[in-house]
Amino acid sequence: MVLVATVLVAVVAVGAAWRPFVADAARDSLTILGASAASLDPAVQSDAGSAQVVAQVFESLTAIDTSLHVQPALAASWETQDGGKKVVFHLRSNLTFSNGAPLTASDVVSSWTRVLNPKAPSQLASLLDDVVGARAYREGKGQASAVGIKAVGSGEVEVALVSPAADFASIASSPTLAVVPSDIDSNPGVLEAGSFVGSGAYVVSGLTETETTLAANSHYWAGAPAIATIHLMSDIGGKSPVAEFEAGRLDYTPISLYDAAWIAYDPTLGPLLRIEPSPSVEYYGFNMTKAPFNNVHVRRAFATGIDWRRIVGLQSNPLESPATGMVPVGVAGHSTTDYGPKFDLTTAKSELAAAGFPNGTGFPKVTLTTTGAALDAAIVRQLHDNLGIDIGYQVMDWPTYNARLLSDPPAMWQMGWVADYPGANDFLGLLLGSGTTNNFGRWSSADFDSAIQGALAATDTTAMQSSFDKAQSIVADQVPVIPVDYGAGYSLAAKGLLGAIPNGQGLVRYAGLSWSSK
Amino acid sequence: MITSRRAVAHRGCAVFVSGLLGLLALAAPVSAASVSFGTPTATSAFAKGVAFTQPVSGASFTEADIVLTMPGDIGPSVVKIKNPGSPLKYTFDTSTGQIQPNTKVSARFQVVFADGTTQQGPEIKVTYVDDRFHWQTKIGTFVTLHWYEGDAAFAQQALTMGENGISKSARFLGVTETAPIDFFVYADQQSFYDALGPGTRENVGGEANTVTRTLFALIAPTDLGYARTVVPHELTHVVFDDGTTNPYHSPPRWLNEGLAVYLSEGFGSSDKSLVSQAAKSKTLMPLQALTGQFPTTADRFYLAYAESVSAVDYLIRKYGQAPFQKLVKSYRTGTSDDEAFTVAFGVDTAAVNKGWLADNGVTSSQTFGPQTAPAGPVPPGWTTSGGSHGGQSGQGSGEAGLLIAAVLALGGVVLLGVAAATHTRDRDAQPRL
Repeated sequence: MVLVATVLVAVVAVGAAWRPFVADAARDSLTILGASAASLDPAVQSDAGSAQVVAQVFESLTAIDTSLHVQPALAASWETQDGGKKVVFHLRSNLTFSNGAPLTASDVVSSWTRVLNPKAPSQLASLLDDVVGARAYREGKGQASAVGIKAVGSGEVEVALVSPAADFASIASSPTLAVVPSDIDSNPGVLEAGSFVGSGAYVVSGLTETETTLAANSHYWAGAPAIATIHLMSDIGGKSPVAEFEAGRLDYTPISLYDAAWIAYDPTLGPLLRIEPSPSVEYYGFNMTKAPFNNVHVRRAFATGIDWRRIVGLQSNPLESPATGMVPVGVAGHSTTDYGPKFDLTTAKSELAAAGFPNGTGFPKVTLTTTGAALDAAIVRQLHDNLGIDIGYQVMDWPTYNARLLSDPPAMWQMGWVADYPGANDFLGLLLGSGTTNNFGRWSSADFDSAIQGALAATDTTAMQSSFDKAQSIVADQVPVIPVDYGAGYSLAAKGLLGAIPNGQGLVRYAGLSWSSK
Repeated sequence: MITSRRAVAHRGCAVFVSGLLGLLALAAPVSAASVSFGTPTATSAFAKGVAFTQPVSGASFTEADIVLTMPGDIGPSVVKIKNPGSPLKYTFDTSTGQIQPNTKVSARFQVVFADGTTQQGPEIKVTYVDDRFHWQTKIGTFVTLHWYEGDAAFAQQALTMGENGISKSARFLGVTETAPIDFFVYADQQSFYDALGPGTRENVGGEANTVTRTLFALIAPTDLGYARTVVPHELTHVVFDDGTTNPYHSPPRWLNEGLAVYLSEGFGSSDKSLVSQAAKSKTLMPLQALTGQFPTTADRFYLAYAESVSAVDYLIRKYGQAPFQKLVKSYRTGTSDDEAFTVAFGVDTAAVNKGWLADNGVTSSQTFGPQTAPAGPVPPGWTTSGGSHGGQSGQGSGEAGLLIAAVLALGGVVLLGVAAATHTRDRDAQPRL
């Protein structure tokens, strides 16, 4: 999603007036600059901006905390059985939705099954690919009744897995797998402000083009959150987020690194400057089904003919570092081995010649299509200067681009991916596994798939890491994608605001926010 | 899930109206099916939007897009048309200052057929203008002046200032100017701010949009004294950008602004006083703090400008003027700040900062952030080791805080090296005269 981009160009003066930089425990509201959700439906949303909203209003069985631990949420506990091929979630007792209606295991089953709906599968449906029968159902080759997600009474959910999947409790934390009322598809009011029914800490009480208003849910399993009302602004009319923060009209806002540079030395704002960790990777990919990128020599030429690390370094964001593989730093399964692209012009020219395009001669006209990424111009220039390739370039708005990726991927494209859960497979199997919904380039490798299965079935971390490393080495050799950089961002948080810390999915849990009494 | 944190900060473009409607050759159909495109139109209203229409008839199509190209773009932007009919319609919203006046835009509609093939219509070229005024125009060698208040003598003086400013900056920086620069003079502050857009900070008296090669300045006909500063200042940005533009890296803002102030008014007594006072009170910001945006508060904002010209003055006193031409040429090739400064001055940016601070009697700078966010309330049952479970543990467990710790450590160190903003829309303060 386009969180940062959306956030940095907007602003509208809203929110309760208050004294800037003064903590006030009596305050029961908060104004945040964020993004509006493309959809409030967990099964429809697929981007980080939407997930930030959805995660507040719909709860999952587990949650990821700010230290990247898996924590109990709607599920009080869970256990693995059958050598890891079955996971049993034990729901908390007396759970209800925000309208007081009981929330039971059958709601979990229906919520997860609709993610797989073959008529309109979630873009993140592949999160459940390890569940027995899940993939066949979403591909229209199996029945819903054959999906290995079963309710046992009202308080237990049994998940049968194709093979041992050590990360399933972590996967269950994804906002995509949050629990929704079973009538969500027949009752439009469920997702509408005023009649909203959710399972999270907040409900949507207002929704305009510029603001999503969240009200505390008194039925939340952990009790009503400390802050009663949150004004989530998605548009501030082009004003500076820093200026709006200083004026007291924003309590918590992402800011650009260009502002962070001076704020670090500012005695007033500096102490309120935060680094926002983001388990994310930016990468470029190819349409593997068509020439010329169905030729591995061409892909290798692009990987080695561009000095990716230098162009990342020259972009000047100190929080972004060149990628050493698809799995970001800090995510379990990140490797100490460097699988990132390595600039080697001799190799690049040799590969290009092997593909039949010596010095770029005869290279077909292909187009790099993105939503407008910072490295695009540098890539176009380096392909021209280093390889003699003049590549076309175009920018698309996000909805058009996303639809194009899913239906007819551009020859060369760009993507940013932040963890649905902080595990390596979210960046490997989910993005590059054969037939997965987010394998935009349509790459298929039996060796890669096998390595991923080996990692998920591993019974110790050494074996798991070894298998993930093998998968990454295959990616580095076959180049279906080129990992470019890992990122993070900056924010300003008002004095006295507690808990403004992103979790292992890059999301801030609003139920964990409060105003200090000091 | 999908994220897109690296959106490009380009696009200083603007909307248009001036009917430069160029109809270029039709793109050849590539599908068995085809449509007939009529004559497209484009109408624009300042601060509202630009409406494009395209009559179309013939075969049915499944999708329609508009393909827009703005100045500075390396390729077009494709926007899907909602509910396409005939004529095809699209309005580019400019109500929140997405683009500025004098942006030249080319557009053409395209249709997509069921087999995935496309057909493009004729190109429309239009320029978005600020249609609130009756603009008069005076053309010089480098600069074309646009003004709506004041007499011909005023315009001639403003134009001469522009011409002289360009010549002086180009000579100093070793840049050869060939393309024209448009210079729009506004006589009142609100109209000027409206033209620049809602993000305009207070104290801004001029702005150079280096992408559209347009200078906007607030100059009342009775206040040409101010113009003598703001005009060469802003034009220096255009020249500097022409000399350094590359797809890889933008020079630090303190250098850009410092040169603009130096070449328009020198290192004046007021700036010297601001720097001196900040040095004494230990509130001098290091040059690393001034690589991107300048501070929002007025006192720190003015100090940022003063420090910038102070640093340029320091470099000139220590190394002379000649290395600046090397510096500009080095940036043009896509070098980092350290590489460019080493080529020009024989030292990296850290050494320049250290030398400049020492020149002002300062040995170090204090950072106040970033700081770790204080923890908030945690639900009952959440433990430091993760959730309650039997059997194998999830991947998240056992990795406590590694990501956050790694990023915080990285940020704490490298914030000092944060670099420049893209100077497509440089904003400058009112002169401190």
